[in-house]
Amino acid sequence: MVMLSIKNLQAEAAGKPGKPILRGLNLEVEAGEVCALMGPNGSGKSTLANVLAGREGITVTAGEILYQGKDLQTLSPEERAREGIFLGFQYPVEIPGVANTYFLRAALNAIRKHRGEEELDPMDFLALVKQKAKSLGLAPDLLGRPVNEGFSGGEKKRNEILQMSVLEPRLAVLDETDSGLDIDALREVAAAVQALRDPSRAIVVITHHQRLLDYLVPDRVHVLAGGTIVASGDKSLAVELEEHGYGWAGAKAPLVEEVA
Amino acid sequence: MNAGLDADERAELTAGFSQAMAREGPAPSWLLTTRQDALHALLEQGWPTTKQEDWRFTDVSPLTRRELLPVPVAATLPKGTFDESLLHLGRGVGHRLVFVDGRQQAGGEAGLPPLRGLVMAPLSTAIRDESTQIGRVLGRQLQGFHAFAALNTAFMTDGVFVHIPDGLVVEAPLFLVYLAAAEGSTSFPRTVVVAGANSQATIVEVHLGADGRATLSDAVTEILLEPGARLAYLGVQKPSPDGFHVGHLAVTQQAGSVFHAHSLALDGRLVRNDAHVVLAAGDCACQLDGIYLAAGGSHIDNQTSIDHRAPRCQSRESYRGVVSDRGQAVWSGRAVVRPGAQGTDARQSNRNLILTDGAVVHAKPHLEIFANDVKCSHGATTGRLDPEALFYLRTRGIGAKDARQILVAAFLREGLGAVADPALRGELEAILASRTHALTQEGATP
Repeated sequence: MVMLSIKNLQAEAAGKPGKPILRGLNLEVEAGEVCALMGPNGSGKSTLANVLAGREGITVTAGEILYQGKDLQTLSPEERAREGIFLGFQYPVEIPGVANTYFLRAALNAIRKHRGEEELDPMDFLALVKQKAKSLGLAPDLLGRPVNEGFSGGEKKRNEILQMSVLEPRLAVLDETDSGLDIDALREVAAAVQALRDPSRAIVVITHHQRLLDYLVPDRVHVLAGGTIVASGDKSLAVELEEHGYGWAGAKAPLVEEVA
Repeated sequence: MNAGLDADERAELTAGFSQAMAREGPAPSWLLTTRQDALHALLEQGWPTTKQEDWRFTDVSPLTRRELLPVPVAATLPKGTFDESLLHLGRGVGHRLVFVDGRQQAGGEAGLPPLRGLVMAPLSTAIRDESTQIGRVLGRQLQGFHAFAALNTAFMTDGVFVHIPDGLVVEAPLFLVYLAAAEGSTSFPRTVVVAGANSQATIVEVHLGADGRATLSDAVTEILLEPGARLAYLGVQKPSPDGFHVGHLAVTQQAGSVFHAHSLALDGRLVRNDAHVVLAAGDCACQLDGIYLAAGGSHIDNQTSIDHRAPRCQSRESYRGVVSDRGQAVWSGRAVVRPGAQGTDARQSNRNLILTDGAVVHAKPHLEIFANDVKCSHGATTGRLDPEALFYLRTRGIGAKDARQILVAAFLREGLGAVADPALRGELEAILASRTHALTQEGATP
């Protein structure tokens, strides 16, 4: 089943017309697939992630995004989340005064309500989230603290994965979840994502480095440069990229025709 | 420098004063002198105008145009016309005295905790009882204060006198509830608190206006903390959106005393609060916190000052507010460090959240330092809800309105952090949460 189908996607920052960031991007992601999206700085990886999550400030000027066959662009960020899309932030946001567990329960209950399920009562929720936090190596006291406030870089990224594991999305887009992690944290986070691999779920991992992919082996690897996918392959592509750099991938792949 | 009372206004106030004194009946001579002095001060200075720095952003003409003299009302409490959660704040928790339109409500009194020497009595009784020595506090701290404090002093009808004897620890909060009920009523609640040496207590003073009524409460609260006293004071003001509240809190702290005040101002066509603390002797700690919520057409003005007159005192001030629709908020925080107040440690901050275009905030932190060995800091910020935080919440499935509600409630809840009594804090959190819900769900668009 195709989870995500992107055709000829073109997008630019609002207020900066005529300077497209995504230039006719095509991408298909199957349910059950872990795909890695690699590419140099400024290639459009994070823009793509934000377009999928529905961030304001990016204007889609052409193309189509189908999520489970539905047009994504008509949905608000919260509607996308309730339909099963999750964005793991490159820079998770600190929210003073809002306890992590309160936030996560509000999120889970909003999603459950959308699915026609009953809200989870606080005790059941707490038991669930404690168990998930433990398996992620996240200190229990972080659950009661304000969202991401005073968290280390690694704790913030683990907290993103904790949210993903509680919210159980169908399509997860993890934007540089590996950045800022030391090798032990990287291994644990990769293992946690690995555990969330599921035939009914698609996971898009955005990363600069192949390191994460040693622990979280992707089914597909796509290379993004200049706002389009310039190369696609299996996990060996990531290894070659590590050896030869992105210039190699760009030269090797057939250029995608720019659509005016 | 004043609005210049015209002959008619002067005559009206003077005649009103004579009538009020006749109604009050016999009173101790010191009290009559205090009242007369206040009336003269008022006639002298007239009403404040926006040409005066402390009143730059608050035009009192809607107040001075209305009936300002006390309206004699024998009110029974009308049902269902007050904010229920505030009306019942602390019910069953602590001792309460209830006043309606400035007069004590019969049956509004719950039993005073049986603590030796604790006094919590109607002012009208206390001023006639020499043993209270209320005259050493009442009216003593108001030299040079504004016209509405003088108006209260001249015309006060009743209020509460609290005396916590030396060394006594009063666990349960003491509640003073002042209700403004009748349409057009004007009342002058007066509260006098003496916290004896090394005593401890919590006092909650609530001013509520009946829904839909254009009432005016002109309140003055005077507090004296004797050496080593610890006092927590919560002041709540919620007139109706058509109502007015002018409040004046005057505090003097003696050596080693600890005072924590928290103000909560909700709604009101015009709310003006002055809080002035004098740190008269060394090693005191003073904390002034406040929360205000100016929505609709509310105008809420908080003027504070902390006067460091003695060495090694610490003061903290933290006010925060949410302003929406056509709401206006004014905050002025003034800390003065006098010569000789060495070792002063003073910090103040003010944070404002503006929810919609059209809402206005005027914030003015200021320090006046005349000593050299001091630590002082201040800051004021005014901003919108963080768009990144809103987006983050929404990407987790939380709707836009709920996300706004969560962020506003969190902002306000953080401002309650210093309210020590957990039951009280819980009630206030619930009140703020429900207000936030109304503001973000029914209110303005994102």
